[in-house]
Amino acid sequence: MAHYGMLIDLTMCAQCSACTVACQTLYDRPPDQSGVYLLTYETGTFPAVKRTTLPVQCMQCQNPPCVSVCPTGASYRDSATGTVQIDASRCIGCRYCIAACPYGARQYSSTTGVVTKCTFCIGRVADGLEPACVETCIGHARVFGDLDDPGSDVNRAAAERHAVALRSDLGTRPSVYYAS
Amino acid sequence: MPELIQNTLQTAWGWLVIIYLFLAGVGAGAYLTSWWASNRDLGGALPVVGRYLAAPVVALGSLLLVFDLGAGSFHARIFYLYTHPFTSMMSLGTWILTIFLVLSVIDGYGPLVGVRRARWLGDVTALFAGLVAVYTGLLLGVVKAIPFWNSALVPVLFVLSAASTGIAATVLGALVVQRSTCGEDDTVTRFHQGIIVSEAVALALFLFFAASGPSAAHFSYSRVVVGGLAAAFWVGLVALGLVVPFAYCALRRAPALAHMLRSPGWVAGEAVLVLVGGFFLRYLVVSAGALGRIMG
Repeated sequence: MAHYGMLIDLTMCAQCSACTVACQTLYDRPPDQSGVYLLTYETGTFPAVKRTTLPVQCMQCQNPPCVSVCPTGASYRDSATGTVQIDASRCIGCRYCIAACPYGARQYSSTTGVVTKCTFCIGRVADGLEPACVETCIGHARVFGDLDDPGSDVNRAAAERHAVALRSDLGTRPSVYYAS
Repeated sequence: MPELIQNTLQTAWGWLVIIYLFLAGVGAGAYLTSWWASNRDLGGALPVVGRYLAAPVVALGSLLLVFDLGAGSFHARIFYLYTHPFTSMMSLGTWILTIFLVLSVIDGYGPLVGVRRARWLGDVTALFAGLVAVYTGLLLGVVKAIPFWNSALVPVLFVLSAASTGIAATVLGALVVQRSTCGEDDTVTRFHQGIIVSEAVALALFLFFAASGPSAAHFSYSRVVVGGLAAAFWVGLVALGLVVPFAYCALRRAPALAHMLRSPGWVAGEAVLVLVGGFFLRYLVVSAGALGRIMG
């Protein structure tokens, strides 16, 4: 039993999109789809402005709204890994989960007729590898590990860097944290 | 991929869902209209026509929803829709729609093959018609990520609109078989007028709470009232769908206009406008839904 989680340190993100491309390559996704995408935004007021990029993906919520709205059980939370997964053989492509995900993390593929998203590369993780976006990140902005293990790298880094989850006000309890 | 650095319109659902929500409301409302008309012992076609209309209209809407599914319209996988009624509003809705369709076919078409129409069956079918109407609103209402939808007033609005459009559809159907429908008696128009007023009040409250709610709800509100959807809102919903039908209901009792407004053409015209308004309501609520920004 584990509860996998990730820390994304925005101060180390070079905004290079290697994570997006690694995900698209590994899972053979078309150019307009990826498990990870980058949002670019500006903060501050002139002249003290900053351009920042926020890598967004499935937050692997512990209380995932996509799972509760799913009428078929295709979206489910896997208790062995603490991740949210999609059983494509049960997905009917109703897209209720896309409406329900506050992070815009889910995509509908018109070619397959089902919904896809970041899986935390759970197959690679089972083989002892890290998720593709973590492995490829040139700035080592991403730390992956078991949130249930108090001594894991991801837990220590998240505590040291005062990492926060996005939109925790919605009660989704994400497993992806951001440091900035 | 959505640009969630700011409030962003939802892209999950479009036209087919809008039409489906509208038709489910019309069918449920038509059934309720005939049920109400027979309880009030209204004569003519009204107590019957809605019972005939309900099943085909709701079935057509459900069929559109099935066409909207990505997995292939008649893939066996769609039966998984029945598996999660206690957690997913869509799965619960599938059960409600299925039960309503079965009941309304028996109640509506049973007499054609010699089955006697039982009062208790009509009452149970009416209960499920109500549940269909409530469910179309709750389908959107439970989505927390889209604050404009996440309002208890969405099911209230959709139920009132279902009643209103159901009356309109039943009156239109009844006119076909009986040209004098609603020509003399004011029972239906009085009742309809009350529903239109309630719908207008619910709409005002819904928009007021959206305007004073989270930023994504305010964004949706602005889009509807002053933004890109303003013409559809003010003309399609408010003027054609609410103000004109209300004025019609009120004016047809005025002695000077009574003769003209009670003609079949005017009765039908009002009913068509109510249906137009009901369609615009679903269109506006669905397409103005927006996801909130995901960071500070």
